[in-house]
Amino acid sequence: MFTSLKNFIDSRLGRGIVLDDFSNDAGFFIRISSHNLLSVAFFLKNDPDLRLALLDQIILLPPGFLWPAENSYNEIVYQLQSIKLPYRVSVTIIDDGKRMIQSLTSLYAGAEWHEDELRAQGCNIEESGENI
Amino acid sequence: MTKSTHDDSLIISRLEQKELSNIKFFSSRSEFFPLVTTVLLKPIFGTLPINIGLHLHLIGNKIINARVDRGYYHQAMEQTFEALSPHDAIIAIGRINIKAPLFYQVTLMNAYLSLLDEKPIHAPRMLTSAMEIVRAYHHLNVVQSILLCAELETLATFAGECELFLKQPFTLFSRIFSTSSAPEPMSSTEMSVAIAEALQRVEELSHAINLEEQLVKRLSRKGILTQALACSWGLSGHYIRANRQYYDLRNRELNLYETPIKVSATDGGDAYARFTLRIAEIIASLIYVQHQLTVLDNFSPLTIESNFLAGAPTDRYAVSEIEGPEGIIKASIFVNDKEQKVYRLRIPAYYIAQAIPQLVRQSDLRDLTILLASLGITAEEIDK
Repeated sequence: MFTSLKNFIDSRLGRGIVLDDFSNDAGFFIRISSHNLLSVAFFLKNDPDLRLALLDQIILLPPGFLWPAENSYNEIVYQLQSIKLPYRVSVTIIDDGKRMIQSLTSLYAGAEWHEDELRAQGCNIEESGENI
Repeated sequence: MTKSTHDDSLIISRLEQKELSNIKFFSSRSEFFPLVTTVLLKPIFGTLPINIGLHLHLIGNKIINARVDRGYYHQAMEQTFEALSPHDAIIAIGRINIKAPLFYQVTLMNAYLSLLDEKPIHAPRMLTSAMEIVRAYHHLNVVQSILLCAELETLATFAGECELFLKQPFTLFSRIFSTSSAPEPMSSTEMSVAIAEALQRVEELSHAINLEEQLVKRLSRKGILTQALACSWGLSGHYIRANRQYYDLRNRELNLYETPIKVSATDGGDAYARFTLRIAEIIASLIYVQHQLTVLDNFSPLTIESNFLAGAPTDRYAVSEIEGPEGIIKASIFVNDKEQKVYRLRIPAYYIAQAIPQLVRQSDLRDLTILLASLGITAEEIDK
């Protein structure tokens, strides 16, 4: 069991992955760069000390809801939880429109509809591949 | 019901709406795979104008692939909350599921309480008893639908009779009311009798169902979801517990469930495993309520005042989650510097609907109705 998710990820993946840590009583809350999303999500899902295998939801927040108002970019929150360990984690990224955000459907099949809606609202998320 | 401020002839009744939204059946042959037939069934949930359909690719009667056609996704409820007071939002969220609104209301209420750093307003025993009564009633409803689809009319009628005993407690506790519109309370004697009668009949129903081989044939090895697949699709509740995992938030919410409730798990991950879990949960819920009745002596409906939590938030993010009948229900509230709020709801039906293709793949077409009935979800929940 750990108390700081940032320190835990720093020790496993290296420093600089987690940009900010806003954890509180509601759960662990970290911010990462969008280009690290898929690798961090893979780690969070598969690390035996985390096992965040359940996708809770993917939330799009308007600019300024988590960071200062001068930030004009949308904020995307990925909420994950573990069914075997008592962890709830929210991972946030900023969609600055400059780079494509990786799809998480290869890890979480349930991300498909969420990502469809985010694309419909203007987010720059890559297509998940062939639809059935 | 649609209404124009200028032309009353555009107003149509609910009956006309139902007639207009007949189930459409389109069929075509694939150009490249002549053996594959494509079928569109729409709507598959209810007859309100929320047309959620299902594209099926068939070879003969076997479903080889499926895709949910969910049309325009509204999210109207989440946007509506931004303009409402906490009291009005908690009353309004009940519309998501008119059959079991309490869980959504309690989830949102607890999120507000967390945001404002307030203590719970309802005694835990009363609140959890109410939730378990509503849970049992919901499951009985789904069990009855499954039995009807399996053409077991006698058992379905018996399940309906079990529901009747829970009808009055359910009406009292199905939702959180505004203080001005709360129904009359029940006496402890009436409540005890209703729960005892319902429990006895459910146990008889459970015994009768165990002897019914036809049901096993219709549900066994159908709609299989392993634990890994269930988690990947975002499913919780009995989709996890049908894979030998005792994962239930009720045993983690020790400040709410002071007396632990019995949580069942089974294996197989198929529709029959989830069905047996429903029966077990009905019995566990009624036994829990019966135990609480020895301590509770007041059965007034749950209410909130009109000025409920009319204060400034003390945090920028609050979350609350509840173990609903079909999985985890979660409400997240985000607050910015100007105290504007954004609401996001996690509704189990959304994830279940998304996983329908996974559930029906490799099933026979004739099993489709019973599989859809076993999901226990409504179109309004999927659409929010």
